[in-house]
Amino acid sequence: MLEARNVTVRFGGLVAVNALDLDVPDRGVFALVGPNGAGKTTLINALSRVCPVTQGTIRLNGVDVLALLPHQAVRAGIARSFQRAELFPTLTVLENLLVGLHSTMKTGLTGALMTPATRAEERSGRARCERVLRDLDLWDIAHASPADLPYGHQKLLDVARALVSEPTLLLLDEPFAGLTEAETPRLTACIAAAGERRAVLMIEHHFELLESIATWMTVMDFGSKIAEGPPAAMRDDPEVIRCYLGAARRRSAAAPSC
Amino acid sequence: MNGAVVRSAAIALVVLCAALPILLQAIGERQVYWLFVVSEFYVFAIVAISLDLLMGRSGQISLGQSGFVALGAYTTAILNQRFGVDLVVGMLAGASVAGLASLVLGLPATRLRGHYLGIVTLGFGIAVDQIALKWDSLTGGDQGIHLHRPVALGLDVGTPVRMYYVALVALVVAVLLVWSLTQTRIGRAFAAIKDSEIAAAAMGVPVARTKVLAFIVSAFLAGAAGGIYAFLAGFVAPEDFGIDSSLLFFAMVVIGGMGSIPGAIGGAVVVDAIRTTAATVSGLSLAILGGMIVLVVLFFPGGLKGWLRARARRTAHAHAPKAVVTQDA
Repeated sequence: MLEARNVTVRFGGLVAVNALDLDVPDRGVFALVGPNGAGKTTLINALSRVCPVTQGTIRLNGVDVLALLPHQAVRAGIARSFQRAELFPTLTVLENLLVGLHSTMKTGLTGALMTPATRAEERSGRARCERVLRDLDLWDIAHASPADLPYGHQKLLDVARALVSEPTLLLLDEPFAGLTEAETPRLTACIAAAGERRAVLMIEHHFELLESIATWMTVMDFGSKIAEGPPAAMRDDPEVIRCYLGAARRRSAAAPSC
Repeated sequence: MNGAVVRSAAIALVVLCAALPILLQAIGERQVYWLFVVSEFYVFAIVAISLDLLMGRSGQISLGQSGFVALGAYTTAILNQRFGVDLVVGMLAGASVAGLASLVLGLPATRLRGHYLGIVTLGFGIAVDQIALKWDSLTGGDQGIHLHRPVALGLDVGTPVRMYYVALVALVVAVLLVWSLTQTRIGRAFAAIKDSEIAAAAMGVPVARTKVLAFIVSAFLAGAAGGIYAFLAGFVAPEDFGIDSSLLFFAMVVIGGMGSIPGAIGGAVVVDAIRTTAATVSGLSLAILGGMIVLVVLFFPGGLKGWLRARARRTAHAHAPKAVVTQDA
């Protein structure tokens, strides 16, 4: 399980995450919610080692996460998606997923020689990615360039790419933002299935959606945790209503982004 | 495009190239001259592919690729002149020296990007050229170095026809190696760091190490090309590796369209054709190519590759307006 203690991230004078404690069990779907600028993305960035942590400790099943370099997080079992689907447009969809297996695969420069070992590894890697794409019903676009796909597909692929390495902790930064009505159930099913085998921690604003898939949510505001509990209970929490739901209602016209 | 079609086209092209010496003899053209011109083109195409791997694939600029070619050529020439090493050993030694030297550029490259990396590599290219010119005792200064008659694996390859096949085999091997690399883990990592460093790192790609690796592989290939060039010309001198030739290689990649082996080879065809035909007037080919780079960057940023692909797409749409699935493998 993930244990974050007293995590603080400071950018100059700005405290983005303030002495936050967070526990994420081994399995299930967990949500991070809060108004724009609450520090949710920064927390995801800190957990995935993209952004430096000023203070605190983060452990995943006993491993000191803060000792890892950014590219070592995957090997430690932490994979993530991005708010704006950071795909690799010069690669095909299938190849994008294969990059997600970079830590799992071994072929180095000998790949240039196409040795039997390389071929075997490529075959099994491709088979693994094919399975993930088929589960998401995306196999028919496996050889397309992600740049040619609708935004909703790109978001799905971003999640798929994080999933291929079968991480123990999957971090999703607003996976549903930009998805169409038709695409939402596909991703919902995918996340729910992923949560049966691992911990999924996701940033999401949509309360009804959270109630249907998340078992626990942590509410943040100004870098601190202000409440946590099952989504249904959070709905009635006065603190949450004051800083988040109330705010969301007031800005309902504005598209959520942070 | 369909993989099988591309493969058959490539094989047909190689067969045609292999038959060139016979064809030239049959039509009675100046065989020795044309064989040299085409062999030289093969060597340049290898350099173009090496540069495309670095620029087009991994997104790092090099304006000093001829520096690596020079290191390969001089290493080969010196080893051949002093110790009589054969073509294969000399080429591999030259490639290795260039690969090692690329660490000098690759390490700063992990901290620099864009214009700054361009300036560093430009400086490197100029420096290698000047060192070759000034370090008389090693490089023969502006007199250059003459090589012994080339021998490859115990076989005398000292005729224009045989050297032609050496160059052709080298190009085919280079294409196969680079193509295979791009289809496997490291090649995908190169593309990933070009497209998004942050996502690449999140997928477990060590960004700095991968950038250095791209430099090493690119320099190794360029160095190997240099080694073959030394034997092909039978002579190396600093004027072959100046800033001009770095710009030629740069032009090949830009005009061909970055990130594609056929693009790099196509770019090499265009650039080398201009260079050869405009060789009579000094500076003319660079003037033409400079203009072409400007036009390509302004109007066809995808180069030859992008232009052909857009055309193919338009024709496909015209013939089958309902087909929307684009499969650009």
